[in-house]
Amino acid sequence: MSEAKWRRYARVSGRDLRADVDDEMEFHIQILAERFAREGHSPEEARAMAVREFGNRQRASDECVQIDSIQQRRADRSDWWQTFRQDTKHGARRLVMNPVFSIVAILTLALGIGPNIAIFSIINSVVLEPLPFANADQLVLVQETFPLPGGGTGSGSVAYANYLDWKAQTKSLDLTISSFTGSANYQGQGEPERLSVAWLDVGALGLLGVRPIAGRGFTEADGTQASTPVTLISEGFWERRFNREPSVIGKTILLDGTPTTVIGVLPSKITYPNRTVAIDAWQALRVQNPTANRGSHAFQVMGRLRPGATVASATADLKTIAARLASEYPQQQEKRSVVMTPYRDVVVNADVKKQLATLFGAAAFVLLIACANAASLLLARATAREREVAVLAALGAARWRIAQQFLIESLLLAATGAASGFMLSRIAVAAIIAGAGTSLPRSTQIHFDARVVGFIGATILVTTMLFGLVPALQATKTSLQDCLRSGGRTGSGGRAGSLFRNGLVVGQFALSLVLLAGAGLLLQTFAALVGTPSGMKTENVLTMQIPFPLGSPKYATGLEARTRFFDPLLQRVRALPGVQNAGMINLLPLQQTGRNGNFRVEGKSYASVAEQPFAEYRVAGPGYFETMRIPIVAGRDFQLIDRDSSAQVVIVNETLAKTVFPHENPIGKLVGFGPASANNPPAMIVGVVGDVRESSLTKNPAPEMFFTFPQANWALSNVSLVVRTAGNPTLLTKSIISAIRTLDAAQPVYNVKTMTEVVQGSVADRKLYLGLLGTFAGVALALAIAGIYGVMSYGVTQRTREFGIRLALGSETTRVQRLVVWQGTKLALYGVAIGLPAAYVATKLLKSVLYGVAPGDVPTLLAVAAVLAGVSVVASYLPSRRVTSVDPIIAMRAE
Amino acid sequence: MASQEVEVLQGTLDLLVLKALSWEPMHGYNILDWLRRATQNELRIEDAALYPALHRMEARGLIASEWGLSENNRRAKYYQLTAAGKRELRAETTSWRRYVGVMARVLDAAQQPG
Repeated sequence: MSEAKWRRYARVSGRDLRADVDDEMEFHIQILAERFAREGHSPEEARAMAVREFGNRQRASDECVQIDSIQQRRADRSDWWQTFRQDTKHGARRLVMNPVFSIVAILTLALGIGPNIAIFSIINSVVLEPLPFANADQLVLVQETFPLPGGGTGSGSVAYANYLDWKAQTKSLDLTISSFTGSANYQGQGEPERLSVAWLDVGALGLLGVRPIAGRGFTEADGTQASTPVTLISEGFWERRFNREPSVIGKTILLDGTPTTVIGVLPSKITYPNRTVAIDAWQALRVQNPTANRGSHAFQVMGRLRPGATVASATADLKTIAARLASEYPQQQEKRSVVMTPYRDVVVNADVKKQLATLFGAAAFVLLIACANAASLLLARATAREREVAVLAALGAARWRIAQQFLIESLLLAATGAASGFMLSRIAVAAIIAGAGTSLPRSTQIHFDARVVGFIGATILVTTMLFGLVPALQATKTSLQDCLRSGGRTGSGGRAGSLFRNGLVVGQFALSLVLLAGAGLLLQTFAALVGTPSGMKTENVLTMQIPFPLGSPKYATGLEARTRFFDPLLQRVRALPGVQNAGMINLLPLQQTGRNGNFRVEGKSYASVAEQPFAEYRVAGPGYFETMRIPIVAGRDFQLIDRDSSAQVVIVNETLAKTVFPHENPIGKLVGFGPASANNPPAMIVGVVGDVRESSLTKNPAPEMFFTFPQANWALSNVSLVVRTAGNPTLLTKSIISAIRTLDAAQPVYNVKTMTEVVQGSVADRKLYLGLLGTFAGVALALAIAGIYGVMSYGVTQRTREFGIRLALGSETTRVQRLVVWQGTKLALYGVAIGLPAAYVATKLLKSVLYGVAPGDVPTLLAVAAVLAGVSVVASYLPSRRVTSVDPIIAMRAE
Repeated sequence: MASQEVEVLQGTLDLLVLKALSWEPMHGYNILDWLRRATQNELRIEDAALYPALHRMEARGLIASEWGLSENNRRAKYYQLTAAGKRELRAETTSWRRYVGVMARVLDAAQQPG
């Protein structure tokens, strides 16, 4: 008998360690006592002498028991491990011997587990991963609040002068400031490239707790006007353009033609002050006349709470300061205050969290549905293994031991399924990152780490229990007697088993209905979005950004830039074969939003700036409206002459015309910006154009005002070329870019997209959401179909004998067949009945992403229910056809 | 007689037990009996103290135990050397001999080493 087996036997026989030790020592004492008795002592005396001679029995015996019990535990563990390994080996062999069953089960589980791994990977990197700053929970974004033109309060960026006053007066937090992300042209060795650039206060990195991975950060001196400009570059840019060469530190590079010294490299996970877009270069923020302009709100302020301060107390503190500033500078600061948001909530806001949570829930549904299928498969297989179980039981194997074997097989299936699911999730995550664009914060940071491994492990265990436990218990319930008595026909295929399987089908249909309802609502949202008239004709338009370094040595003035670059460029492009028209705009509709502000209508007086009308500002060149097919409703388009004349002209959209000039003709009206003065003449409205949904397809057009080049010089730094073509616009990309490069070889061109792509990009978040939920729903539907099909085919096989009798007694085949179909459909309908109210409630989670359709939309729910019912009829019909081939005689003779 | 006994040095009891068991499987009493005879009663070993040593060596895998019948037909626990125990005995014997040799050389030294 081997050592391990003997120990197991010993354990079963109930021999305990203490008794063994006692026996062993007692034997020793008895021999001693016998010896003393032989030397002539009385038995009592001999015994007492033996005990004395033996020594401290109690202590020795305690020590022995302790040593033995440690040893015993170690042996138990190794026994368990040995059993586990053996069961695993046998389980794997059985799975390999049933390849069809195994592959179907593994694929099913992979489809269920894959989405969960994918969504968790994203949640892990976006939500769970700490921000790349020291003590990130102390960081807050500080914004100014202001009354919105239509009522309510808005919040936005900060005036530099206000920041200085806050910083000087607050005791609650340390503050730093940065400028919004900008961009600069870089050529270096190779293709010219547009870099995203940010400007940071020299103290920003210290406050955030960010250290360069090479070189140094900013010093106080770097922020002074007199010092040489210095730049920190990103790890990505360092790798892309300098091959991680350390010698680049200290070198001078040209950004927008201006020399600047590279002083260090920041790690790739830093995208501050942006939260989605990777930054390529950071420069020290330098502000001329910092206290001069309190009216220009163009900075992002970040704070770190000091020990003891909370968001609430710090907000109260800054609000007091802001109130003081408001009374001190009523002209600019009236009704302005401060709002503070933990930076973590700014990076990943509540909407994103909610969407991710919804997707995670949907993925969990898919897993549940997959588990139901897997459980169904296992149950069906358990029937085939009844004899095996009965024999094991007859040989004396305990029920839990047999169940353990079944569970280990399930564990193997779950683990293999998870491995395949992991492959699926890699593909899914790559697709999600690609599809998300900037709609998903921190999407560039998505990575695989120990938390994901832990999640996969936990998923394997939970999944195993979900689909393996009931079949394992069910399978081992079979008693030998039952098996023998029923001639091996019923057992786990009996009433309880079929009830459980039917319950699984009902559950699957309920869950599928919820997912399909969500997908259906998103599909309608998407259709509604794409169908929303944007106010322009977006087909056959090519767009590209040609950022323009104004003030660079090449083009000192806007006029120069126009005459030497823009005018010839538009001429050349318009002359290209296949081009119908071309124009320029600073901010493409649906891609970028930018400046806005208050303006005065000449002849009206306003008590404060806040009472003045408000508009979005864009800058368009001649030909833009025509190229985009935006109708000119009244007045005229910009003309070449506008750009040379000193008189400023503007064009407004219909919404502005209606709201600002309700009963007047806006054409010829004069509007002014900022305080009126001789240096700041008003501009004349020369035209009214149709409304365009500029910021989002879901948002109604806002009042908008267009300026033109080069009267609005500020806009030149960021210009998009729009080209309307006769055919496929992408075919012209090359010739347009070469036209640009002929004029200026160092001119970067980026973001080349058709206008259709721009529109699609503006709904990328919903498209991604629809894609994911749609995929999940599709998988769910496929699994549910497979589930009901499996259960019905199994049922038909099990009941062949019954059908045989029915047919023999004169039932028509079609009648029996109808019975089968009805039974399947009935299950599906139960599921639908449970799923409908669940979907009605659950789809409310989608409220914020839906457009043009309400959550819980009844027609959608009914349509989805009808689809599921229809599918269930087909899935039940297919197995029912087997009834027709039943020969009553053979069927009744069968076992 | 008792005053002439030498206390068993920490750790050497294991080696002595291994040596005892190298002849044949024995129960605890036998082992002690053999040790006393082999040492001519010059070593003092408490009977009780032998057992924790035996159990510890069994846990280390140096010896294995089995219940058997004693000379007078009583249930007794017999210990025998395992392969690992035999190896241990060889290794420990060698290192003990070297140790004793070094100690002896040092203690017998007639003059200060130059």
